[in-house]
Amino acid sequence: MKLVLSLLFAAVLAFADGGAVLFRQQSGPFLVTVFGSPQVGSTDFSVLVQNASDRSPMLDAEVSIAVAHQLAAATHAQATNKLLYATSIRFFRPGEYSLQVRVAQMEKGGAYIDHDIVVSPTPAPWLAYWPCFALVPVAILLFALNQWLKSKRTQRPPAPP
Amino acid sequence: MNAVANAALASWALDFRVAAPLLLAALVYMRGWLRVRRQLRDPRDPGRLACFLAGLAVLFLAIESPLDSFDHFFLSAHMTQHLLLMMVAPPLLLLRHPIVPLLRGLPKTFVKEGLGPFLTWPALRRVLRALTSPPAAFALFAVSTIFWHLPAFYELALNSSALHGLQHACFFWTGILFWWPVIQPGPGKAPYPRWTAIPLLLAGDLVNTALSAFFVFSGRVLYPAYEIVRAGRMSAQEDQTLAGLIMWVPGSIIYLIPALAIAVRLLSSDRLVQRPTRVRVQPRPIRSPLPIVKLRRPAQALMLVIALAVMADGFFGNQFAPLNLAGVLPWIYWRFLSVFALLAIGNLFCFACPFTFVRDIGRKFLPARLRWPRALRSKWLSIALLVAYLWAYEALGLWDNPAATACLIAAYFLSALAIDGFFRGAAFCKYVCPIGQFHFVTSLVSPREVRIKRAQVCQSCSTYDCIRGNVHSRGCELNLFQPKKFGNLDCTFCLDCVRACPHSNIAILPSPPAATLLADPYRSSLGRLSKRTDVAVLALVIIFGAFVNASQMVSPVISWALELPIALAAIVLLLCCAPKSFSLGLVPLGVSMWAAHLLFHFAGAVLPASVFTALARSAQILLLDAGLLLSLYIGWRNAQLYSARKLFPAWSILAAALYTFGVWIFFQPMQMRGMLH
Repeated sequence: MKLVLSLLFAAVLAFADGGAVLFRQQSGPFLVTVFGSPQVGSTDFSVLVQNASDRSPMLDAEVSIAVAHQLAAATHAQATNKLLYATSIRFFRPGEYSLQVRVAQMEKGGAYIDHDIVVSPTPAPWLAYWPCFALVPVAILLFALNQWLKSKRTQRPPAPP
Repeated sequence: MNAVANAALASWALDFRVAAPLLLAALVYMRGWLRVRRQLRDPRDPGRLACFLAGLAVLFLAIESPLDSFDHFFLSAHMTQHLLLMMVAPPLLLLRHPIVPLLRGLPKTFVKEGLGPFLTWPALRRVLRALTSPPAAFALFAVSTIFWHLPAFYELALNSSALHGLQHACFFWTGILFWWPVIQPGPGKAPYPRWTAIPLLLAGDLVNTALSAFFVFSGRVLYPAYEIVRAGRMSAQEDQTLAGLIMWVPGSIIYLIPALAIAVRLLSSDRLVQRPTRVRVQPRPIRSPLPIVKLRRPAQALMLVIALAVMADGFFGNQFAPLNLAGVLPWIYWRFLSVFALLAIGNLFCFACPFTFVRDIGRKFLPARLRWPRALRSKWLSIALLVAYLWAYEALGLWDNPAATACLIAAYFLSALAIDGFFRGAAFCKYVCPIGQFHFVTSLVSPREVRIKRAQVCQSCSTYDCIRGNVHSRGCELNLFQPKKFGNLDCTFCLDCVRACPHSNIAILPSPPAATLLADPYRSSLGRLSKRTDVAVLALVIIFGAFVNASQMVSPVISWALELPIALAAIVLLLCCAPKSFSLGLVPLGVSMWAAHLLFHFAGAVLPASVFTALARSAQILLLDAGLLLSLYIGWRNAQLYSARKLFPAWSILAAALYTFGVWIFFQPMQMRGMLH
């Protein structure tokens, strides 16, 4: 089951905005939601920063993520959904990590959020490309079927006049 | 427009895995549409094309636009997306009989040999007929719609990209099934009476209305995910009501208007359909030589300027390879572009060869009267040079040595000038140039070749200008007599024959990749390939060279000492145990390995890191897949041709082993040569 699930999840492009809601927390005037599916290897994190009072998205904040001794600036440029701030972090080992999100905005000031996340082990790298590998056996099967149908057609007796 | 709206509108996904198939479908349809249009002068034609392209555009909009980026935030955005996938894209795609243009847009051989047996398979036809019958189509459509909107499954899809993709696929394909009996796009007589579409549409509207009403009047948030993630002032409840209204009002209109139109049509007396008139297609007139002929000299001059710049920078510039033209242009850009030009069009590097350009200028002063020695009229000399080149690339680190690269280019110019300055014909291209040999073998899988248009024209020709030449142009210097030329081997795409032919009967024409390897006819100037050991060895050096060369990028993991004996043993075994043509069957796999390896370096240099990481490995594996499949097919056909079916299993194991080795290499950390990373 684990293998099947990992196969299903693995074929996703590495662009941000992916993953489930990891946590949502209010800090000062900000409501911060972090998305991601952390696993060993490169993981995309996306952050939605909202005004806590009216929930309007804040697009002019500076957002950074610190985890596993790495600090990365999250930007709109790295996100597909331009309401989010996204960045990529590389994990080398599975386990529990403390993820810190820093948000700063000119008018509202800054905020700091600390939350524990669990990084799951990554499946074998080639499993992530299973659709590419599946192409060969599928094509061979279709070819075999094609040949079988052709041979059946040639064996068929001619229709009576 | 405020900043949030601007950000929302800029949130396009643009995933090549979605865009590429849609673009391909559009191209295939347009090709078929143009062909059908030539045959049937149908005034409705532009509408036909517009419908199909609009369907693809709606599909793209649903999957790639900000609607997709915001489906986690707003149920209303997600429902609009579903509406487009189920109710807008499928009918647009099915309107105006798309099957014929789609089939006509595909290569004829593929449709006849590849799809034909499936299209005429009675069992498959029965299944398709059952699936597109109104009761089954409605049942599948309704079940898919209701199932995926149940909160448990909806939330599951929202949290998994794979399941989300599956959900959208279900909506789209059940949409196609549902709209099939309504529109009846298939060729031939419709199996169900027209009136059956009316109850089907009304039933579809009933399901849609029930679901919409549930959203609007449920009084509670059905999908808690939208309560957690909200990106605006609208509450989750308000968003759900809006989603329900979007489904209800536009959705109902989409079902009811066609139902009404069909009812009116059935009740009206004017039901005669005017059939388009079939026009007898005249054979295309022979056109004058291609404009590409005129491009050869400018292309050669441009390549000469680039080569001179590379040499100058190599000799006198910064010797740090990533900052030197001689470290970057030949090894990263030129190698990749020439191989991909070979795969996309044909032997364009030899077409624009700067070495033969200088040689042609030199010939105005040099005699060029000697005949190339008989003993050297084979590929053995060029094989030795190719092996030396592959060895020098690694052992002398050519890629990391701009001065050595410049020396190599200078040596090339001098050799071309010296050999062809004294010997007749294109002895340098045919018997010496290792790059040319590489391109000759690689161009066996090119989709185009220089060949005659009509055999009858050549049969009535008595001047043989294509090989002898005339006042307008010299004939083929590589002694390829066009009526007996078969495939791209030894063809430099110089187009001298095209210029020389007085009947304009020679052109660059499409040809299925590697099709010339499926038979072993007598080839002009080459004879039968099954009797050419040198050609077989040349092909094997290029095939195994691809794997050895790529594996050197992961040299800490694997070394020459291990690889070379295995590669040599495999080459000897292939030459001794199988007909020579079997070796050529591996050419597609070898070419795909070269392409995949060179793509890695090129993509690493030109693409942003995030795109490169996401796409490069998938593209590499897909290239190897294509190479393996084509090689297996050629091997299978060769086994039949030479009555050597027992050889095929062993041969296919070798091909599979090479494929596995290639994939293994791509999963190792590879050197980013010649780049600042």
